[in-house]
Amino acid sequence: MSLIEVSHVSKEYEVLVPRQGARNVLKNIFCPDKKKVSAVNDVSFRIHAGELVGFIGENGAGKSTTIKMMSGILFPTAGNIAVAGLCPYRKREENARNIGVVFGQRSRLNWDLPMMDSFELYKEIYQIDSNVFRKNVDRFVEMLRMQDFYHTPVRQLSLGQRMKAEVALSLLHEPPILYLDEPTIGLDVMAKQQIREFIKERNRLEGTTTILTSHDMKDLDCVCQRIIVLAKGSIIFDGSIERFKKEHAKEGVSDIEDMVRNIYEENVFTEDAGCSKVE
Amino acid sequence: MRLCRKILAISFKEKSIFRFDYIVGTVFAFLYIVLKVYLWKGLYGTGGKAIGGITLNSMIVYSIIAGFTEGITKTTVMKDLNDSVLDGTISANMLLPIGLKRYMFIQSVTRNLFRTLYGMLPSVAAAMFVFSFHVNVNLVNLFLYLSSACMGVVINFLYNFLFGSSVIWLRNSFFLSNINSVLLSLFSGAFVPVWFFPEGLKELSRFLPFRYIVFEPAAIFVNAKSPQEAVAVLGMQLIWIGLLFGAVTLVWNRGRHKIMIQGG
Amino acid sequence: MMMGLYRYLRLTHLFTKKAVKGMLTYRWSFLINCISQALDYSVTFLLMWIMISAFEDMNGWNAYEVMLLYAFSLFAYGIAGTFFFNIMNLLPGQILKGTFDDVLIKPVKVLPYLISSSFICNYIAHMTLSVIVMAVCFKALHIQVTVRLLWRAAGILLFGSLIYGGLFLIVSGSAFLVAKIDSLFQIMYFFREVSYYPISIFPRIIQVIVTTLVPYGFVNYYPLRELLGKEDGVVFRQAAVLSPLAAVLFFAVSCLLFHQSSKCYKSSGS
Repeated sequence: MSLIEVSHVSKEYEVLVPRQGARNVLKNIFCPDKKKVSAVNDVSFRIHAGELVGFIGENGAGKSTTIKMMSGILFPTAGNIAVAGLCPYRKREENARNIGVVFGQRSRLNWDLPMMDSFELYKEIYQIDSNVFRKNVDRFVEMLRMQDFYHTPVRQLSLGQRMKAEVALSLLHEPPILYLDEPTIGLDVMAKQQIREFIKERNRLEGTTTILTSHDMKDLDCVCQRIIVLAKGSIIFDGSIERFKKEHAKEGVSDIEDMVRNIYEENVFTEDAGCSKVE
Repeated sequence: MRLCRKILAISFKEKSIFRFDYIVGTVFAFLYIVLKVYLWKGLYGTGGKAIGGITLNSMIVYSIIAGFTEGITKTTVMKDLNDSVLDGTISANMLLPIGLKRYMFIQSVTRNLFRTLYGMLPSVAAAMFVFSFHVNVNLVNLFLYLSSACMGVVINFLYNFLFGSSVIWLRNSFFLSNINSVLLSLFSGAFVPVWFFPEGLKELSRFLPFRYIVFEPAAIFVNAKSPQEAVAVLGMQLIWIGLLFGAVTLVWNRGRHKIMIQGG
Repeated sequence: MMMGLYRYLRLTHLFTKKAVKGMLTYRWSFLINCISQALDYSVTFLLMWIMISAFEDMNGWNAYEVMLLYAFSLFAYGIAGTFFFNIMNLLPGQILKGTFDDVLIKPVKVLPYLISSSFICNYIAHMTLSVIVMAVCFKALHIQVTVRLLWRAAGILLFGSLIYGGLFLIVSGSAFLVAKIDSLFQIMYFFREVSYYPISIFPRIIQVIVTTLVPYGFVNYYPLRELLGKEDGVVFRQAAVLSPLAAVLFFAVSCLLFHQSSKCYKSSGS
């Protein structure tokens, strides 16, 4: 049995469409127009223990929504998800103990205090054993070279230093599964490299199954063995990086980034072929 | 005048008519009037008594007109000065071809007038309809009220500008502006008119500018003052304006000097 | 159940310790904020006293009795605010920006976690002021402060704070359903203002609202009417006995509503 099973999952949102004009004020309040928007559309995949998987897709392709459903934040509209045998949105609390999550666009660290204080809070929240906690903090501080800014209030840290602390924070409770949503966004080359190495190291030593989304193709090329490409809520490729390269290598295109861009463009073309692409 | 129009136009754009917020705001403005009406009814009881010569009817009118006067005299100049000194925009504002004092005055007055008229008139009208109290007002009275209220606007602005300038030396006038609003809510008479005050406080209020901002204009409106008394009030208001204006000029000349040297 | 309670108490303790540690950076603004709040409410007390003293009484309640109503309401509000205000203050922003996700990925129950992480000390000013005013009023009303009275007062405050807490929760929870909760905010504060006075002076419809929909009447008016032995002719004569029941029921319903609303969370942002 695989560690993560996602089968035929769809997610639809209802969006309110406000009507213009003064006469529609009350209408907008009491019976607003609704429109259904599909974020994820019949997505299925399996991930085995110890895999390093990358999600690629444009903004709005459904990467974050999929990760949020696997973390138990969102209910899917249809389909089933099992993470380590649990349904994440029904057994949210139990599932939370199995996963570590980093959202690269926001911080969970207490702004006014050194990162150690946030670590101590997480120890209590995740009920981590003192010895395990001590051991992990020491190792993470060493591996991510955080000794220099360990006692500095977080608001004085650089973005790279903060992201290292975030990644360490999400692994304190030794989760078998790690979700990283754009962990390297806005970081410099050095910090990116250290975080990549750290993720690979954890995978090698502890077998941490990792799912990563990124717009930086180097991240995926360097860390992941397998990639899943999403476009408009559907999976358009699922397989090893090598196969991806082989299938999509065309004349003059050797970079993964260019291949992905090509796929997006083709995809847009086929979707809109009937109506807008008539010149 | 053109500046006034500009600010008005922006205010209108910010709050386009018939938005949900506006409806809610109006409903609650009305409810707060209702609250006050029943408070005074509860205090007056059913006996039809007139405490200190003030009947229930004039008390209710007072309370509404005082709320209105409070609205138009209100000013955020202290906070504006504080913010502009802290973020340094004050130096930029001093480069405008118009005096900073005058600029802030026009901005504050126009905004308030708009907000008060636009926000309060519907609720006042609704209250008058629901409670059918009668307003006994003649032209002389209205004229005296309007002049007095205008001077109230100037007094409150100058007072706040004077103490707001302290930010140039203190770097933060947050506490001072809080003390100020506390004093204003106590002595202005916006909630409880000065004529109900115990002697000591009443005496004290005579030496402070606050009662000339809301209480005196509203009292003139409800005919609690003879024309002679009303004119005396206007005289006192003029004296306060003179005093405050002198003080502001004095302080501001020094303050400007300090800003020029330090660069804000 | 007990284990769970213990866990969240420890969390509250830890969160508070960290919050205090972080706040030391801003201790002056904290102090100034407290003093300003206390001054602000003192003036309201003073104006109330001036107003009612000029008329001797308000529908049979003298100045000190009405001030006592206000003081009880303010104290209960302070207790509730200590635990719930920050939820109401921060949750709408977290929902709008999608940062509420960070709560859901933790192995904790949502509401207990929010309560333990939202503890703030700012309401110390409200509570201190209320105690002072209560003492003054009891003295002026020649009410002997006995142990029995203190227990009764504590009970009134406890159940009163449950009602305030429930209102905080309903308003916060509605942030899951609508983008702007300002109007609910206003309802809450408008009726709070109403409950500072003996509600018998208001029209029947307002009396009914503050007894059922927004049950502020049970925070101070009904229990104190009983305590002070007032007869001011409003129905719901036996309401004081119902206060604890009303408070517990209201709070439970609020928790349930919050829980149900939180299921509508649509994580936004990326």
